[in-house]
Amino acid sequence: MSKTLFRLIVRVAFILIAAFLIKNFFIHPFLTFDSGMAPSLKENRIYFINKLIYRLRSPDRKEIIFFRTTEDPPLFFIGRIVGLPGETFKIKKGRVFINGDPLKEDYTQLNLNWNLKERQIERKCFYVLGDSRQMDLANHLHAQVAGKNILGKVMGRR
Amino acid sequence: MKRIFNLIVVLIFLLAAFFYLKDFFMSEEGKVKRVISKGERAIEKKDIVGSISFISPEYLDSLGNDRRNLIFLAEKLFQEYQDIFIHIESLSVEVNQELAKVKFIAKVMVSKQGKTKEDLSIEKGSERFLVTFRKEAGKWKVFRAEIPEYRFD
Repeated sequence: MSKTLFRLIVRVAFILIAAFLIKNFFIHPFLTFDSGMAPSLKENRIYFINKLIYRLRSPDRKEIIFFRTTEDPPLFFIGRIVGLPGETFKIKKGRVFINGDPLKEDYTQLNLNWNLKERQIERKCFYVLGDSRQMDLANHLHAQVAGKNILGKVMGRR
Repeated sequence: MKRIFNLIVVLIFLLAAFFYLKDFFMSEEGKVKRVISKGERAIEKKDIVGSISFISPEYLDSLGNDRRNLIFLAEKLFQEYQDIFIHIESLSVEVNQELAKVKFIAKVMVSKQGKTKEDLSIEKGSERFLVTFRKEAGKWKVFRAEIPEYRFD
């Protein structure tokens, strides 16, 4: 085998290994399948997920996260954290209240028909809502997500 | 010439035997996967008879539909949408005698034609399914279906 061919194989192998490591441990591409996060995220666009950040620190309020369902095989979603562990959460006439105080949400338009009774967010869990709130609350994905099911943060979006 | 003719006959016989016998050598998991694949193609072709042929007469799902409701829903779906595209992933099949438990994620894309040519709306979604197949008269049929609630805890 010539030296040039050997070098080419080593380079290709290096690129493949680096791509595998980056995709699995650092940055993961994700195609938005629906408009649940509009207007912050557009439908049919590829966004990149920072998978490393929550290994270094805890997720924070208003961050757009990439998360999964518990079951196997899992489904994947994108949503925005509105409630942190241990807080109380409720929605009254579309406005989100955390520990009884209204949350300032400049990234969405409120849906005045949305109402949700107050609930306590469990330890190690986060309350997640989508930004698109035109539909009924029953048709909108809103959930308490365990920290272990949060896979990363959407890059470049606040 | 006769030798060539004989050879062709033998080849046709072997080919026919292979297609006939391959079912005997296919595992039950393989047979269930083949039913899923045929069902997927029948839905994409909007073939109502083909789609329903894989459904057990005693079919029931978690939304309360029986076989008759399913036929009605399929007819409605096929009328409403111009094109249907299904992609199945994470498929797992567990066969236990006459029943097979199947888990998969179905990604569905449908298009609806509006009044004008340019007015085309596309809807997409993905859902997780738990389906039970039952062997009826030697054939695997969809017996129960469930779309489980999302769990994130």
